[in-house]
Amino acid sequence: MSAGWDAVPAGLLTLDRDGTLTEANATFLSWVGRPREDVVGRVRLSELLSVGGRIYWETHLGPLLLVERRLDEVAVELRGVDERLPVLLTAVAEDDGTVHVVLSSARERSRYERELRAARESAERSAAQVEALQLVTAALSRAVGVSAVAQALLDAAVRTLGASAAALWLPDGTGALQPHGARGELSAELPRAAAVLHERTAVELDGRVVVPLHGSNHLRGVLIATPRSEAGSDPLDVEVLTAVGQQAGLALDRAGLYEQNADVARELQHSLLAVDPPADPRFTVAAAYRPGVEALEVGGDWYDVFLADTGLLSVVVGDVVGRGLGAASAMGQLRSAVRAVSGPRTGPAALLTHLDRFVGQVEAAGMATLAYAELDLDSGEVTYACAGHPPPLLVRATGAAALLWEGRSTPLGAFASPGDRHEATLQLAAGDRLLLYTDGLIERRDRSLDDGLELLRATAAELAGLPIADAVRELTTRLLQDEVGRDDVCVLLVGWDSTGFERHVSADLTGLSRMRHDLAGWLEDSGVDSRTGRDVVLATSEAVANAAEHGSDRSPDRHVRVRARLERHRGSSRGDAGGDGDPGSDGGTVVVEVHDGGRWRTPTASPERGRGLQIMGALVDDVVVESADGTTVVLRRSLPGVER
Amino acid sequence: MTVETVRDDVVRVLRASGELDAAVAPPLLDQVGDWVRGARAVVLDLADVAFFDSSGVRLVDRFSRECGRAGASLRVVAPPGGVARQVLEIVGMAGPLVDDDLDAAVAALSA
Repeated sequence: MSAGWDAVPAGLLTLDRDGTLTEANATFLSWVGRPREDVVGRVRLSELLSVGGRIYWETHLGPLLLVERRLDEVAVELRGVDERLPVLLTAVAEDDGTVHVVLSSARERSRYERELRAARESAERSAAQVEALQLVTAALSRAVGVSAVAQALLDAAVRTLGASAAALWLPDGTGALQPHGARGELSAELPRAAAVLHERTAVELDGRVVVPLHGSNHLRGVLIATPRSEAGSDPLDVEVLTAVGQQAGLALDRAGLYEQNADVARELQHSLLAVDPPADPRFTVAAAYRPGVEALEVGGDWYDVFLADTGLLSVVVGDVVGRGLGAASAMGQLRSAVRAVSGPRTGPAALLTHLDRFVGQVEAAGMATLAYAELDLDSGEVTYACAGHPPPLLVRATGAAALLWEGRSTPLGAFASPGDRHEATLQLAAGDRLLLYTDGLIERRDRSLDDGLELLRATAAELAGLPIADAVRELTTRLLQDEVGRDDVCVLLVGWDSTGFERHVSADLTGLSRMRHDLAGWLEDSGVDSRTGRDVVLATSEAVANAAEHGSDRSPDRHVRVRARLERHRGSSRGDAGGDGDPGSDGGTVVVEVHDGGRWRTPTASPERGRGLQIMGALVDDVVVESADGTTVVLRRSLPGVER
Repeated sequence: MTVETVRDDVVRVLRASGELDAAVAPPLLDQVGDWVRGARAVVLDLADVAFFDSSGVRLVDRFSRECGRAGASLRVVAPPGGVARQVLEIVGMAGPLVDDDLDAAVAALSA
């Protein structure tokens, strides 16, 4: 054997057929701590193994070596000088039974493997850190609004970052930190040392980790995390918490800004939707606005009701695509534009053409739809147009309901050319209603638009008999009951009621005769007998002349408003009175209100005026003068009851 | 609203037609003096008046005053059931001044 044989840093052996050592190098002899003469030719390899190793050798390795002729890196233990020595055994058997054995020390390999394992664990830990950070970042960016960010951060601290408890402080209006929320049991107080709060990194303090949440300019809050106390728990990772704190600070920055905008937008929308519909006995109107369930930001749905002209009622429901401040301000501008442009000589189609030009100049109104209708309060004629908006619904007093598919054109925008805008007309009968709405009322992910429209039509038809406010409430409740996460919804229902009467007579009285004829016609249509009708018309004419003369000095710029209605006795309502619609059949009262903006003067001012009052008093049962907001003369004349 | 002279001999008959209300009455008031000038007896025929209110009463008042000033007699025709009669009755002017038809009025003046 060469000197190299002894110098090899591995145990080298030669065995004979029955496993007795025939050669052993110096390395091996040093491992077992015995001189050559003690072992070579005297002991079998199995005798130098640990007890377990020997049994293993005799039952497995020896026979395997005979059959396979080799063993590769089998772990066994040598009986060393003071201790057992783990080795890896590789052996090759020759044809004559001679076996060559190489033993390498597994102690060195173990250290390597420990290091390998440590490196892998370290890599895994940093991967877990990255993953945790990603999870937290995602949760923070999903959160909308300050409260949601705070919640996401606290959840992340205990679920993802391994804290047993966490508490969050956020600055109040003055910048002073106030407890906002906590997870887990915690007796956390803010550290007295204010300096800690202004660190840029998380800091361990009294067994907790203080995490400042810095926005780009301000401290947005402080998170305090408590580590788990059970044995074997990992300590909190200050590095990860530092990174989370930075993310959370920026998220709180965004959330605060967002909430400011959302507040402004909500307020703006609120003011825009606070419509005070004009009062007129010839129509009734009810509207509902429901914000989207999950949306914090306001949407661009809006509605409006106003008089475009005397006796011409405009109703509009629109939808500006988008949310938040931009959408709210765009809808405000659009609403103003509709009011400014509409009028007796414009009409719906021309109005849309004007709005196209307007929308082209208002960036935020880039995509807007609306349904617009004008109702002639005298005749009940409706002219309407739809710009890319769901069709209005006509609900007849009879309970029939039909979608209005005419007068349609594309959404508002510069691409529409003037000739593209259409309008359509229809005639309402007394008690008929018109429903305008936004798509949130009918659009569902799980059903087709046609099905939604049909459901709306059928539901509205069923509700035709309800008072108008109840009908709107019931309609929105029924159509939105199963909906989660729905869009904003606007609903506007206007009913035309020819049984009310209203005219405005110029104080120069040029329209006085016309008013009398209209009132006489209305009374006749309402079933009032001609004798009573003549008395009421005469008394009303006196009251109007009186108001024009003495309240408005016959100025052509001022108007006297005449309203008339029928009131039922015995609590019967207009809709079901008498069954045949003849108001004279169960008595009742005609009530006429004549209003002017002037101040009431005592009747002694002139003898003619006294005569006028005398005539009025003789023709009706009751004359009452009310002096709030101008002067209103209320005339009442009971109708003769008819014996059946 | 029109007022025309339909007869002018022993009796002058002025026939009003249309609606007599506060919108049209005031300018008529100033013409009453011309309408009755030179007449010995005047009939204001309101049978064709479609509407009549306190402005009409005022017109009748003015006729009464101008006739008194001119020394002429005045009768007003306002058929029962008509609006002028109704109003004149309300203000208490029907009894001394009003006849049911033109013949009665002319007869009253000729008596």
